Amino acid sequence: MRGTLIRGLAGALALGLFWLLLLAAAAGVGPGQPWSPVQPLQLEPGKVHTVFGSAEAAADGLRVDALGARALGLQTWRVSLQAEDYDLLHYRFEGLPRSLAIDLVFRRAAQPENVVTTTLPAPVLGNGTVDLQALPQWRGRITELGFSEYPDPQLVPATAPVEPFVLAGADLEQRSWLGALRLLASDWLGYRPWRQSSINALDEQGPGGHWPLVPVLALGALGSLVLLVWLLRVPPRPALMGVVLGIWLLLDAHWLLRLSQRHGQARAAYAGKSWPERRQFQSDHALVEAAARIKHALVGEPRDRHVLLWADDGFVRGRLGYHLRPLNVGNWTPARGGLRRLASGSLLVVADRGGRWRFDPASDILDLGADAVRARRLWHGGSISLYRVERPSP
Amino acid sequence: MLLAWLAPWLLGSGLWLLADGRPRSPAAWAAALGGGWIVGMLLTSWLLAALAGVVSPRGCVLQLGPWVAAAGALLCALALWRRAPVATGLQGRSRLAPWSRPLVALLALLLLYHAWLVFGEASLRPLFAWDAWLVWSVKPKVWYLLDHWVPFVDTARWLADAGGGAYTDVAPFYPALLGRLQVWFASAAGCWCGPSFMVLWPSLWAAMLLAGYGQLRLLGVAALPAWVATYALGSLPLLNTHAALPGYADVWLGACFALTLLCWLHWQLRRDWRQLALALALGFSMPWIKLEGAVWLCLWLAVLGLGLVPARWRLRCVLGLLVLLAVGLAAGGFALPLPGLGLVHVSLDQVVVPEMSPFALDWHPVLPPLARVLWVLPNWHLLFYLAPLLVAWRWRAAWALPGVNLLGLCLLGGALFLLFLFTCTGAAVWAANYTSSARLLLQWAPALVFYLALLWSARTTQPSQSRSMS
Repeated sequence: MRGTLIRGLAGALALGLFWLLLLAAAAGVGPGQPWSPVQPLQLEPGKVHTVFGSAEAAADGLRVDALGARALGLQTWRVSLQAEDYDLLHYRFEGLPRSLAIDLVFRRAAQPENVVTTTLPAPVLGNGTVDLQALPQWRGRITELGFSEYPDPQLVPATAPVEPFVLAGADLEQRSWLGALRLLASDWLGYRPWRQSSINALDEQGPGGHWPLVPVLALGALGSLVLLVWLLRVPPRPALMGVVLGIWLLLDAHWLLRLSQRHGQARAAYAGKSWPERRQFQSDHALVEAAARIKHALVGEPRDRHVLLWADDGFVRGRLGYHLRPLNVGNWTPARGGLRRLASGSLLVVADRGGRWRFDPASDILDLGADAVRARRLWHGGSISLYRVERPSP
Repeated sequence: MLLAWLAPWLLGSGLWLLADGRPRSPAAWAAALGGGWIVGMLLTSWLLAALAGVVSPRGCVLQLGPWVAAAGALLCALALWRRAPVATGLQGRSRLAPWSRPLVALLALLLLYHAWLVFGEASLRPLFAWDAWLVWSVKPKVWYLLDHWVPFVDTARWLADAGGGAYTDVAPFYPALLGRLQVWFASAAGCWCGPSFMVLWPSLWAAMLLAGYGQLRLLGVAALPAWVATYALGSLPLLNTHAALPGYADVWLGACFALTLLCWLHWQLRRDWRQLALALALGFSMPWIKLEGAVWLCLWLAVLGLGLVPARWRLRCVLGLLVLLAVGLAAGGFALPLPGLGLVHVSLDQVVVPEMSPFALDWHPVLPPLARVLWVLPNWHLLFYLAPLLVAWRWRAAWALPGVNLLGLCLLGGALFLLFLFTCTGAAVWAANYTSSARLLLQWAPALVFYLALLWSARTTQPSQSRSMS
């Protein structure tokens, strides 16, 4: 009886120690590192400069009430520090809406005209940590550092209203056990929104040298199994079943957290809205609007009239094509002289972010490099235009 | 909207009940309701295709729905009241042990939470996934909004045919089975609004789980492994993602492939031709869901043929096929007629599939990204860690258990096909950039989960299977 109790205690201790060491290895900390950072640099919210957006000091930090021009909020600290002295950035936000993405922004003394940006994982319970040494540009003297916030370009329109939130501060730290575990928590548990690539594979590893969750837990399952059978004398079959099911449930709890965070964003954005309102409240709101205007401009045209679509961006081409349906739309890539060969009356939608097309309203000449036709512009908005080819230019 | 949901469900469940007999257990009901939902949806789409000259896209539910519902109700009534119950000799021989009931309750609660999230996400968020709006929803949107089943052709033909009434998109040759279902539900909603058809995807997820659980139990898998397998499948993150972000065909293919194999296994063990008919219906739907379905269909047909051969001749048949393949390749190549794909030409340096660019054959070093998809990214929980371990642990059953060994062979063939596709053809790009490898695995993974459940439960399944084969 006593022997069983001692074996049980030893086994439980061994299991606890094994998981602690595994997590430490996963986080990339070694025995020589301190428990907490030795000389952290605290970036106080009271000293931050609001570059874009409107913000005011609050008891718990800097309260950001609205984004600024181009739907961007930007707050920075003027600093003078050596990048190599700091490994981790720990940041704190309160009430950050899930519709916003945040970037770390910093300026290097070596290239004062450029700012470096990198997307950060959303905070977990208000806290986030990023491995600065994993960023190739985090080198030399840093003169400015801060955060920018903007509506997530894959989820909501740039015009989406933003609830106020608080920037509660940030710390630059050296590596430590605490920092590494925070980094792991930030990467494993932080909110990661749906990406267009999510449907292909869920690739959710943030920057940094720590290990991904699934292999760590698989390794944990193997180690736990060995300890349960060897030290605790649990029969192999129930031990295997228990460990596998336990780890699977743990992974599923993690996945359910991710899924519920993502669904939380959908609820915040779309719950209570009618279908037309939801359709408007998409990241490509501008394309939805443009498609509606083009359809309106083409009312009265024969139903199956061809509409040629040219776009210099794959996403725009696909989404605009979808929104333009049921017009008889087809993607069109002109060969050399192809524009000139278009029949008179052809309808052409051009979504040109790169500025390759030129239209002269005075002469009605639509020009694509060496290729040009006379055309009438039926509608124009932003980088998108609708033309009707009149006849080849003389 | 109720008619749009109920009519196909009644039709499919009626057919399933006719094939399987009056349900005598919750598992049989689960199989009939889940499998029936899938069969009913596939049949409804086929009916829409067959009656395109008669029914209009906007009015199809009102024009066809009552007939489908009446036929379904008649079939259900026939199956429930006129037919003698079919003995389900393999049906689950163990009830849940008292200690496992709280565990099963937990798994059921977790599945309900998954369902809450994926249904909620699919019904709230506008069409999000890339190929959903680029490929799979373009034709149905045009058909529904024009109220006309216009043809789709490739861009070259479309450009040459101004005023001919044809339309185009980026994949005009892709099957339209799912597109017609989208039209069906848009017709019921009376608008082209996403949620009306997007909840089809989480519904398929739920139907696959129901049908899979039921079929496993009817195959003799004990209650606990059947519950665990159902939960394991229902919790796979990539499967959840495809249910929550609707529009892709991979999960439909995965469900059909898995259920084809389970129905065929019933036939293989019980020689019940009605289950074979279900398997054939589901199997032959695959190429019309997505082109890769032709490969899964051919793999299954090969195993189906092998199952008809006496056991002692099977190894020789496989070796003979391999020799034939080698001779064919040495002779400069051969052509294979594949349903849905046409005449596929295979030679040592390329594979040519009609309507697609030739796949040049060459070695591509993409094993690291493939391994990452299987064992590192959070797509599958522990599935691909457990699969080789379980097969190794149960190797005797995997080798010798009648039917299950052929199922394993079919899955092995699928795995080798995927490995060949990604390492030896231009599809390596899709593995290197993670765009397709996990999605193609998703077409195969549900069948793998059910196979592992059969292996796990092999000790209880084997005796009754041996009896049925004798």
